Amino acid sequence: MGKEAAIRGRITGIKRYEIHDGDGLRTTAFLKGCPLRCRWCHNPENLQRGKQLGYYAEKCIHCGACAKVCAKVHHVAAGEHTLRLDACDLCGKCAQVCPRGALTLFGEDISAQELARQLAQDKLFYDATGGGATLSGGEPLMQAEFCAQVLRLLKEEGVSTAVDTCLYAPRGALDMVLPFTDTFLVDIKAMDSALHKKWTGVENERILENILYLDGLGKAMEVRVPFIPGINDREMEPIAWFLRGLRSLKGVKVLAYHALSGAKYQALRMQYPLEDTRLPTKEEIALVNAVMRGYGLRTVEV
Amino acid sequence: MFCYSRSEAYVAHEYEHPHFSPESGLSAEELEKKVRTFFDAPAGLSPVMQRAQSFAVIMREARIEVNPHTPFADKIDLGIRYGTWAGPSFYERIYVQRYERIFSERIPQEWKQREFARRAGISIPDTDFWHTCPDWGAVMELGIPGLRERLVAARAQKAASGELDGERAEFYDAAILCYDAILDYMARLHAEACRVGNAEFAQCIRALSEHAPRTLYQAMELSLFYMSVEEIGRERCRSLGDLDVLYAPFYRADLESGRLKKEDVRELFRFFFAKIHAGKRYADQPVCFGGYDEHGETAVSDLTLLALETYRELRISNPKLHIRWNEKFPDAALHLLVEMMREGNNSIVILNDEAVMRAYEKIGIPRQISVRYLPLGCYEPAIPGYEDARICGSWINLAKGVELAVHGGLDSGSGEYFMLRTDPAPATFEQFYAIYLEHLKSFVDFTMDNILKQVRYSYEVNPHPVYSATLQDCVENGRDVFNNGMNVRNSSIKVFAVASAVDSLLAIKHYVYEEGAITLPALSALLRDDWRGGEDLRMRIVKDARKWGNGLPEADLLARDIYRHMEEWIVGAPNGYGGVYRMGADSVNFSEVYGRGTGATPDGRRAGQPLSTNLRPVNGMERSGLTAFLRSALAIDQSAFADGAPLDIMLHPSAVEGEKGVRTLAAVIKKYFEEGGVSVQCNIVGAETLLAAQRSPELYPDLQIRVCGWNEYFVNMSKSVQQDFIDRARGIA
Repeated sequence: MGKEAAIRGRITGIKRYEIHDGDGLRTTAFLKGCPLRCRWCHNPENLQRGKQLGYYAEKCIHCGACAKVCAKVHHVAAGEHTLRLDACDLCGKCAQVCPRGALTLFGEDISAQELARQLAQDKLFYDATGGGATLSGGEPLMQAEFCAQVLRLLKEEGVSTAVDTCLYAPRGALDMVLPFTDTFLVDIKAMDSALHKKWTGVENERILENILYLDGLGKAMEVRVPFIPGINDREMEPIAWFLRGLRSLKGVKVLAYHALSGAKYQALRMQYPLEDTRLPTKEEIALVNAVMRGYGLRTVEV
Repeated sequence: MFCYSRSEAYVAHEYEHPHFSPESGLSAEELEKKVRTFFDAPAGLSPVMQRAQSFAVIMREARIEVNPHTPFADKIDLGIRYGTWAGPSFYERIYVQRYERIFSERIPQEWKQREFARRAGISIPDTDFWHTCPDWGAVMELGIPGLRERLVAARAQKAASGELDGERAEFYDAAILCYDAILDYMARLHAEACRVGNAEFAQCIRALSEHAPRTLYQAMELSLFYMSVEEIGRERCRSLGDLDVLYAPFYRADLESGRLKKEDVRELFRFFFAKIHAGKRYADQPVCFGGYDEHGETAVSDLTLLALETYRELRISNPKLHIRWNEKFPDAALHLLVEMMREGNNSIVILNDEAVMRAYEKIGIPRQISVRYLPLGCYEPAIPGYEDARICGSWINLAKGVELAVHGGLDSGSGEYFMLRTDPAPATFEQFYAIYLEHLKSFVDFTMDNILKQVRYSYEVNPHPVYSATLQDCVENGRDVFNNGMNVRNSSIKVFAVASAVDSLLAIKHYVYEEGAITLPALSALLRDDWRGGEDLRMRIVKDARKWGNGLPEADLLARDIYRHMEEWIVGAPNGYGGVYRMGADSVNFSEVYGRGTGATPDGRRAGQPLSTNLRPVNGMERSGLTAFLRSALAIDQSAFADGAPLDIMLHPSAVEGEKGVRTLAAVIKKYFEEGGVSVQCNIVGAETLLAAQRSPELYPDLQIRVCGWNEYFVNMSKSVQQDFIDRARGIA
């Protein structure tokens, strides 16, 4: 094994038969860690770089299997399960024995070679559908070197690749993955940088610059625009206006905000930041798509 | 012309709430009394004459109904009760009782062994009188009068050549009597149709009593009519045939002559499908579309699309659709089918012609013959008019072999040994696995031996001259289909619970032989005690990732090897009465039935719990997504399965969203077929929908789930079965 291929990265999972993360049928790996803190994030387990123990209280049957393997953290008595997470060394043994999946260790370290092997397994179906492998997250470029190796190995196997990124990344990180990435799936949340900072924790200049950089190189891009009522409704036209000038843009996908991630927030003892935000209606999403098309952009429905 | 929208209500419940005309004949009770006299005091009648004469009485004297509101109007009163499915008629019960009586008297020892094997969930050897495969081509070409004339001509020819021995004469006489009686029944229907003022049907049934069908309407009525008379007994027409092929000439002629317009054809299909739906045939009534036409081109035509679109519009699950896919099958039609599945119309199985024909080659049947195959029942190919396939000879439980191997041959339910006593403490996993295979081989030997013993009595138990008369071999040979009338007489055995077996074997390999967490005798004791006191180990095993269906080479190789051995013992093995064995891989509902008889297994399953179904992972163990599962299924050499091998695809609706979702699933199915997969069926439903339906069944009366080769209403399932499907749906979310 080459030294590069032995590089290890941290993922939270692999999802097969995915149709939303690029062309054709995809297998998507989720990398752990993200520099943004979007309030609507639906993958909160991918925010922190470090491993985390998740606990789904509603799944717990208080059987005490976890306490048997780890009494330091788990205490189960009289129908009550208390966790002392400060004592947890994230070994994952409790999750291994939990019968109902109430305990989950988010974060698994894996070599580039092993991840590439697992992602290449579905090549049969990628070729049949024009699909491939996608690195997502979290923000994959936080583990740029690892990503570059995984992508390189995939390209060697003839697998089409995509990277799903917020592009809040140093140019050097982007350059590492560039040669092995066929398509970038890029997010734009807002054009107004102050608004962007308010809702995601960071300003957007670097992101927009990186988009222009990729466009200048002629790299295929699909831009995703999350639509969150009351937060970025007014940003849709400015985003469309910005995108209309790009020449390597393959399409724009408007993502309707959903609130299905509440359970994961609870499991991680995090407060879901957008409790009171309403869901967009079908009509609103159709309207935003129409706005995008009005600017001559190709919209992607799925 | 009838208008479906006006008649719909009269058709939808016509079987549950029939209006048999009291003047038209005997009530079901009176009829039963009269018919039973043939069986209670047989008066020297041979079984086949007993059958023919009693059948003739039914045809001539049962009450009938002609529905004035539909073109497919005939019905006969056999006292059937309708629940979820049509219950057995008195005549069917007579034949079931006869079957049990004759076998328990003639082969008491074998019958007892079979009962043991049934309870223990090993195998249920059967002659399979149930799944019939009439030669629909002959039925359409000859019609009822033509089938009768063919019998008369064959009888005369045999008499002229001096080959008309007593048995043959009796067969011809019985069959001719049956067809005479059917013609009498048609005359009665005609009179009744005139009485109730259904002139269209009156004309149609008269035409069919005089000649072969000449119009599409007549052809469609003949399909339904023949099925209704063939199914008077225990047997079932487990397909109405490849309708686009059978109906094509009538359809074209009707359009060309201006007799029908396309909208009229749609209207006919509405009535046709709705009648089948209303009939509630057990396990749903199959019809087939697709395959090849006589020029080797796709049989899919505008007629196919028109029929499928009409079916889609009705939103019914019965009939169920068998689709024969091949490289010439148009993508547009495949996309239409995927869209239907996405809408929840999941009563659709798609079979891969190439894989089926390849499997037939393995049992020596060349492509030019197997190209005419027809899927029967759930998924099982058979070649109408060529092969007596007996598609459901038995189901062999692969997981039971593990149970017996762990306990040295002891069946933990009964505490008795079945066929073998084996070493309860082999030193290596390889030795254990060899013992496991020995047990499987003993299941196969037992099954084949038991089937052969039963087959000897099949003519006595269940002669069927009506069905036999559609089969040219039977007519030429002067023999009933259940008296070796067909020249090619094959048998079939299904082999299932592969995932339960592989997961159990891997648990033994890793926890007994590699890690040494437990000895085999200790595991045996623990399993006999249903895991009591071994919860930690059980949980470790359940959570262990090494499970079949996730594309893991270790598990895939094991599954492949097990099926390779089964293939060696089953596929092409002589059946002892003129044919060979075919192998299949579906489980129907035996994963539950056999599960009840199967003790706790090393994969963490508790005693009595269901086993894995079809070619599916154990519930909850499909952890790596559909593509990984497909790879596991393809690792098995599917060319062994001339008797079918269904793959259940379960997807969340979001995975088939939009046009891309349809295109992608269609491409994945095609790829699966190109790689050798035999057949697929889909459930596209989200856990959230199933949970909502469990909570508020009144809001989801129509929600259906593909169970095996048929659908069930979700709200009618037991809570535990519902839970299994919810768990499966959660696994794919």
